[in-house]
Amino acid sequence: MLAALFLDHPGRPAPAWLRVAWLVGLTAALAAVCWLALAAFTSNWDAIWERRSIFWRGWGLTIGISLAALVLSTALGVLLSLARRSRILPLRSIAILYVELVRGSPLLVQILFLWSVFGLVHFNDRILAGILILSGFSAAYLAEIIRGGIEGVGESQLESARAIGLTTPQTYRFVIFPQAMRNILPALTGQFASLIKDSSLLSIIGIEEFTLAAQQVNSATYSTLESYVPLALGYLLLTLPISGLARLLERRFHYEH
Amino acid sequence: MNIELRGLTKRFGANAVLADVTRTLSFAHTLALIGPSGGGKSTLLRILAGLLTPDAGSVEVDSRPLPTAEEERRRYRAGIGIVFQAYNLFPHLTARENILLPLIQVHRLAPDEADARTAEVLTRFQLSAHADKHPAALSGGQRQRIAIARAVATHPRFLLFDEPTSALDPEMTAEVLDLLAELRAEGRTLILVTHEMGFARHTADLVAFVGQGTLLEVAPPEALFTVPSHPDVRRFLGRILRH
Repeated sequence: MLAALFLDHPGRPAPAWLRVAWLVGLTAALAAVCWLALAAFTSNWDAIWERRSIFWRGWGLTIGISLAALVLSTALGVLLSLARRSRILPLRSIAILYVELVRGSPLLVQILFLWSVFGLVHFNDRILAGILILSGFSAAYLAEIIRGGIEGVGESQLESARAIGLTTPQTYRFVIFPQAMRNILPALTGQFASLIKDSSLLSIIGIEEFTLAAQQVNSATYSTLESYVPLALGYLLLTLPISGLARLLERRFHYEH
Repeated sequence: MNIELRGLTKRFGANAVLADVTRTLSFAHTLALIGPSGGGKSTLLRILAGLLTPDAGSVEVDSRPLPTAEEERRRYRAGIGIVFQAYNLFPHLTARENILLPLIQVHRLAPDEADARTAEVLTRFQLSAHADKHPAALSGGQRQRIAIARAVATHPRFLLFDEPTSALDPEMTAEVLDLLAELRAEGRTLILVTHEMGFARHTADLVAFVGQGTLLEVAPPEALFTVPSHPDVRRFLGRILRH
């Protein structure tokens, strides 16, 4: 009897209210624990509140950089995934090399290295540089996700597309991408959430995004927890809606095979 | 229709599926390609469909050579209808959208004209009730009929079928074969690879037995099925018609 409150399986599915209740209940419990911890270890919230404009500005910049990088990295990722499948060998080699190097090395090093390279050619726009570096980084991951999606579309689909006379670009647009999209959506949105969080590393080249804002508040107030808790909340506020959107899109793209 | 094969050769690796085939196939409306699995009948159909290029030799359909450049071959494929064994339809599109896609994107029909043609084939093949379903919601037979409707809607010069019923259970097979017979009765030109010997016998004007990399025997169905002259054809038919 009691087990019915804990189990959800095909033979006896749990009602919707129970599934929601578990999520809400656990969230509330977690919030209570955090609340107690914060009440015990933090006191200096007034100093944080006074500096809220620093947080707002940093948060705004993080949103701006993430949005720009999201668009740019998607475009780059698609191009890279196509280059990776190209019949032209040098193009394919470049794509492989790029993906492996970027995925295999720390973002921190890439940011520092590329920022010095940009300095050499007197390109000093920090924000634009940050967007470019972040896009280049995320594109390598997206390229592999997209390639996996493209290759997951069956051979029979490609032959059907050829049989009705579609051109190669039309085949990608009307047959491959829509089907690949459905398969890669979870991985894609996960990568977008990562991109938002990865933008925090741009603070090391002095871009005044959200993380740097928290660091600045921390050094001014010596209140570490108080400075970084808003940071966690601010990032969650951006990444949680992405998960929600993903679920919505998954339902929209849903069709049986 | 008149098909001229001259020195036609197609290899997959070291294996010649079609080896130097020279033959003229003349038939009124329907050509059936039969023979053992792996004998080359699907390969021949795919060459006629412009999906495969031969390694050597040439093919002429009604005195016109098959194009070799990819863009010309694409246009050639667009001008004929091709239906495979299964998975013809795009699973993310409804039946209606599957039929509309080539009409709009390949044949560049105006939207209202494409809609009208789609409605026309759906009605004619009694598929209107299923127009807005995705392929997963359709039976195998319905899927094949939608695929045939998609091919017919483009007003093709002729239609090619690669074992259109071999993935179906008997009832659905009958439903698809009825439709094929109907198309033939309309005077359309059909070329099909089939395992349905009864259908080949009753519907085809000419039957070609493909095996051992060549056309072992080409004859009208009555002759081929009652007095096959090639010993391998005799053996094959004896085996499968015994039951």
